Parts: sequence; C-alpha cells; structure tokens
Amino acid sequence: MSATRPKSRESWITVVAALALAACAGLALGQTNPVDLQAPAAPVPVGPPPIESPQEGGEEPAAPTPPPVLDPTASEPTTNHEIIPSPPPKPVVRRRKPVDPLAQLAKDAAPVEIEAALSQSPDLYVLVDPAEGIVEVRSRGISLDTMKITRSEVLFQSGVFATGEPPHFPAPSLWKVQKTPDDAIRELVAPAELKRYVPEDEREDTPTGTPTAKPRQETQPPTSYRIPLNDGWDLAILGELPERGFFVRLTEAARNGWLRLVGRPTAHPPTLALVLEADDSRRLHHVFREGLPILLSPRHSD
Amino acid sequence: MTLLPPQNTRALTGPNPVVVGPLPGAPRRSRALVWLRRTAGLLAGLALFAIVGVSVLAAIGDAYAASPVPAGKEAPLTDKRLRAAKSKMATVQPRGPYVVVDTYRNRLHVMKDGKPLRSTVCSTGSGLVLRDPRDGRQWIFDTPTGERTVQRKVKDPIWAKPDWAFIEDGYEPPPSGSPDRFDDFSLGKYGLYMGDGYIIHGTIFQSLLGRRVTHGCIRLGDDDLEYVYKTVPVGARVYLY
Repeated sequence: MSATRPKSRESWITVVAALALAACAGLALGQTNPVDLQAPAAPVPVGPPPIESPQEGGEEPAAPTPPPVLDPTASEPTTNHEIIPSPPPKPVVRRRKPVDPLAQLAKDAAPVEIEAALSQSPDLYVLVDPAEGIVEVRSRGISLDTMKITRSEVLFQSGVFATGEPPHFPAPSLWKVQKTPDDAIRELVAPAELKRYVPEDEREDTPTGTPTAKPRQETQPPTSYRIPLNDGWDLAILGELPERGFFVRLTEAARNGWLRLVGRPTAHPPTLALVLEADDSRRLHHVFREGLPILLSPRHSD
Repeated sequence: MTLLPPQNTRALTGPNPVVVGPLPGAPRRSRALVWLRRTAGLLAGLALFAIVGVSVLAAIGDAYAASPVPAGKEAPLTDKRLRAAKSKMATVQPRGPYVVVDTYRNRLHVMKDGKPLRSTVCSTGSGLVLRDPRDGRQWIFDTPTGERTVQRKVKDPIWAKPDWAFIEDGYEPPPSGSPDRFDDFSLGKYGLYMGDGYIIHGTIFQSLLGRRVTHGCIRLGDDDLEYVYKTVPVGARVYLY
C-alpha cells in the first residue's frame, strides 16, 4: 500500500493538470472570434469583382485605384534585369446586384398582391401558410394540390447554456428554391454503342404479339428533406419534429464545436420546419425544382 | 547517512535475507482492492475529462433550438388594392374547361369552374436521362410543369420520331425524312399538342398507365383520351405539377 500511494497521487496530479490545460485551451478558443452560425455564411470575395459589359446597364464605374507606390529606400537590383513596371490597374466596375421585382414587391405588399404578381407567370409556385396549416401548389392563382401541415416550428442556432432569441421571421416573403437533390438520383440510360437501324419488322429478335414495355422500379422520394432557400433560410419538410432535449442539443453543440475547432464549421441556417404526412411530403418533394417560388404567407389569402 | 529499514517490513539483515513481506499485525490490502482503486481513479479521471471536454466543445458550438412560428406582419390592405390584386389574378385564370395533370400520382383531371368533370389515370415522364454515346448529348424525360395550352388537336396522329427514340433502343437514328421516322400507331387515336413536342395521346402500353414511364408526354387510355379530345377545346389551359 505504501508503495502504491505516491504513484496514485502523481497520476491524479497529471490528470488534473491535463484537464486544466484542456479547459483553458477550450475557453481561449471559445473567446477567439467564434463564427456566427446564425447568420448565413457569406462568400468570401476573392480577387477583383467581375467586369460586366456596359450594355447590360446598371453599373457604377468606380474610381480607378492608384498605382502602387514603390519604396524609394528599397535596394536596387544588382543584376542587369530590366525592371518592368506593373501594368496600370484596370478600372474596376462594381456589379450592382440585380433587383428581383417580385422580391422587392414582397417587402411591402400583402400576400394577395404578391400572389397576383406571381400569377402573371405560367410557372408553378408554392404557398406556405403555417398559420392556416396548409401548403398549396398553385399556378395562375389556382390551387392544384393542397397538403396539410401537422405541426410547424422555427429552428435556429443557439448556445446550449444560454438560449438566444429566434431570428426575425420574414413573413410575408417570397423565397426561391436554391437547390434540390433530385438530379443526384436520376437514372442514366447510356447505350455503349449504337447499331445500324433495322426496321422493326426486319429484326430477327423482335418478339411477336402484343407489345410490352419493361416497367421500371420507381424510386420513392424521401419523406424528410431540407430545401435551401435564397435568403439564408431553409425549409425542412419532416415526418416529425426533431427531439430538442438538453442532451440532444448538448451532443449537437459538442459536435459543432469540434467541427469548428478542426476548422470545418458547418452552416446551420434558420429553418422553417413543417411536419407533413408521408404522402404529402413525397408529393411536395416531386414539385420542388430549382428556382421554384415559395410564397410564405402570414395568413391565407384567396 | 544511515538507511533505516521500513517499519512494516523485516530488516534485510542476516546471512540469508530472502523473504520480504509485511510484518505480522500490519494492515493487509488485497491486490484486488488496489486494482479496484486504481481503476476507479482512472475511470473518474476519464469521466471528468469527458465532461469537461464535452462542455468546452458545447460552449464553442451551437445547436438548434426550436420556437413556435411567430405571426407574420401583414401589410395593411385597402379594399381598392385588394380588388386590384384579385382582378389582376382573375384575368389570367382559365375560362371554360381546363386540364390538371398530377405527375406524382399520374392522374389527369378535366376541370371546369374549379370542379372536376372527369378524373383519369395517365402516364407521365420517367425522369430518366438518356445519353447519346456518339457525342454525349443528353435528354431528360421529364413532363414539364406549369401552365401550357392545347395548341392543336389531331385525330390519328403520326409521330415523327426524334433521335432519342432510336438511341434509346440502341440504334443509330435514320436520316431526317426517312420513312422509318414516322410512326402512325404509337400515339393512339387522338393527340392534343401542347408545344415543344409534348402531347396528350394514347398508348399501346395500356398496362403501364398510372406509372412514370413516358418521355415527357402524357399517355391516356382509349376512352379517357376520347373524352378529353371531345371536351377540351383548342386554347384550353393545361396545368402540370
């Protein structure tokens, strides 16, 4: 016993020292300008902004930047190389973000007015009305299909130990689907090579009798999926609302913290989560295409 | 300096100092107890490390919290603006019979004044992608979505087969104008043309009605096709979703 006690003390001291170091390092990292996950990650501009042709209109030519000042105290090169002056910088033309008239309208118009503007196009749009509990597929103001929302919630990023304020809910607004996962699951038919055409009645292997076609195994769309939208929000269609208990959130936060520590922070935009029946979710998934307008209405308007 | 012997062990003195052990009467601790204490200490250390580690990581990271959907802020709407918006919408809405095609459930509805006149089963686009091995051209066999109009109606339509119809079967397309390009039986008895090559027509594959198997056209059974042909006029709207 007397031989083991000193060793045990040493190991305890080592463990406590390691823990203290880890805690200090973690806290220090936590203080160093954490990435704001509530805001959508803005793309980092690389290089000068693209130059647009003047015919497109709407540009404001910016003043050309002055040429770089050479340091007179810098030592002259000892070799006979000729110093080639850098070319004068090209005038930088700043691109003005194109204004979407519908999005502009959505800022201060009533939903019925936004829908009236949407209905001028032959395209489909989706009306989401969490207050009334419906999602409608529409075109020209006609309801083509209706899905019932069982439950709805706004999901937003917040610390585990301190609950933050939910983000501003932008209703009414006009969203657009940015990306759908559909194209990834399309089946490709690609014959390796083509034979010379032979009319059907001259083919040797033509079966006789009633023509039949091979039925294809249709893939079922998912019942839970997430649609990224254009203004930093996501729309999540779910079979049931996710568990938001303390330990679930703690695990999620620890995972996100680890990803941030290793330099792989993931964006978690605020999300409007809608719970639909399985068949309704699949039907809606079938409708979502890139660029599909989604009218988020605070109240259903007919 | 004198090295004193430990108090609870025998002194290693004498001519044959071989056995060293606890003195009689000293407290005896079993190896199991020692092992247990060490293991418990290690586990406690690990648990403490895990708790502190997870807490630090959780403090660095964030997690989703949920809140009820707040009520939106609706702009005040005067009667005049409401009427203007509704009349703007009414001008683009269909008058008379129109067709609604549900490409997920493969159903076609002939509608009038918002009420269904007839609902039928149909076949719509398969969603497949076909690639031409010669030059990499691709076709996506989707039924379009949105609004279209019936541009013309044809009895006993003849199908001018495009390139993909041959490539899909593994054949080189014959030259344009070749009699092999024309097919007078595949489209059934009637055709309602909606532009860009999309047609509501009949089928020789009756058993595949209700499935997504077409190249983008809408196939109907014979009776339903006849009803649609006779009920839906040229210029009628077709809504596909």
